[in-house]
Amino acid sequence: MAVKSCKCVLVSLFALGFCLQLLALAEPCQKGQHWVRAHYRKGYIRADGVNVSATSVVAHCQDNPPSNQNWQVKLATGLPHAWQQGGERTVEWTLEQKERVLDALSPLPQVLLNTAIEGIYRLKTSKIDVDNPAAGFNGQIAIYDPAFSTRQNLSRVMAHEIAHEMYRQFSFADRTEYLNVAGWRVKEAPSGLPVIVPRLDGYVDEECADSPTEDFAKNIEYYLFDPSKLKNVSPDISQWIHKKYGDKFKMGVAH
Amino acid sequence: MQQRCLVKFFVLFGLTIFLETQAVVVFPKTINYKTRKIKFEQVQALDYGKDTNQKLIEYWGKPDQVVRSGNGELEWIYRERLIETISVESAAFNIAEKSGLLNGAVWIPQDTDPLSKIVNLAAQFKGAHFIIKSEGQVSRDYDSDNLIYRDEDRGVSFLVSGQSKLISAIVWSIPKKRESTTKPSYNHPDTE
Repeated sequence: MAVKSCKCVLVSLFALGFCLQLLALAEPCQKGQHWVRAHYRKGYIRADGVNVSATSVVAHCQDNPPSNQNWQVKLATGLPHAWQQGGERTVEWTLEQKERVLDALSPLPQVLLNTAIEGIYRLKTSKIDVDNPAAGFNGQIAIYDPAFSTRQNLSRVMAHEIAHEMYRQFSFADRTEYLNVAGWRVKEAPSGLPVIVPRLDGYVDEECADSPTEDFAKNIEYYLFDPSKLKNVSPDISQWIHKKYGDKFKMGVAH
Repeated sequence: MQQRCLVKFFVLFGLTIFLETQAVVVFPKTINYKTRKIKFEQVQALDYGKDTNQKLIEYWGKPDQVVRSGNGELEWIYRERLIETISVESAAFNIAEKSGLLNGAVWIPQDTDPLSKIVNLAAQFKGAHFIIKSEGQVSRDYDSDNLIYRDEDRGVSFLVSGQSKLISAIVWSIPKKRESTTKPSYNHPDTE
């Protein structure tokens, strides 16, 4: 009898424990929110430039920025399709990294958020430059380990990579207009091949001279995160961006 | 006082006439870029390595800009048409500074131009054998999907946007061979 009741108590305890576990797993958040599990978060630079220190995040419900819906599904695994940098290695997304990327995207202007991106992939490091925080090809973005370092503003990194894609998706007229205003020209190289040559000066960063797409991505990045520098160095480009994308093209509250 | 003014006037007048005469000698024809039209067929018909800059002056007058390339070449840049209030570059020619020989050219189509489409443009180069290459890495964090079509024998290349598949520019250089066959062909090196 005593054995039987003991068994009964054990089964009941097991069942109770199972139910409690289920409850713990269930996301108790309201619609429009998502459940953030407890995790350790490294220090980082927020979109507005504020340094956020490392902390242990307590499990909680967090409001979904509207951009989450579109972007969450783009956090992809594996290697981007036809990725040009052979030998690069994929890594698993951590919960913290997913949260960080979605948070970083949310204050970006709607024009950037509306740009068609096929997927955001998580790779270990760039073969070209180990310090590269991210790279892009054909509508795909790879996020490397350095993107999550305390030195990087992830919103700025994402703005830059999405701007590359904006440039790729430019209409013929938009592209011609940008090349014209930014002083890029097509020239016959000594090899007989077409080469796009840059203007002589007026760069916010020396990498701008690499190509029109890099120039555009850097200029968008500076327009959003260091507008006074762009205004001083390349006033025509700053004006063109303002004219093209309007007053709402600026960093804001979470979209 | 009046005499001095009169002398100054005649000196300036004479100088102006002299400079204008010189300009006419160098550039006998001036065409405003707003009315200028540089046709593909004209740029295509030029004989690179044989024709001189005189032909350009005959066709389109003086260039809007001349840039010294540094390798003994001058670049004559012609602008035309407007996007809102902006003129855009339409064609540029590489010219040997000493001889005036045409070494190469770039022609930029508009998106409304039928020749901005690869199929239409290819039909203009019957017998050409194009090798297609990707533009590839253009910065430390970006690989371009733009394509470059090149027929070295004919000295013709196209820059094609990977996304829109529209032609961004057509480039001519001195051809390796001057004779042509009959049909164009397109072979991607990766699929050969």
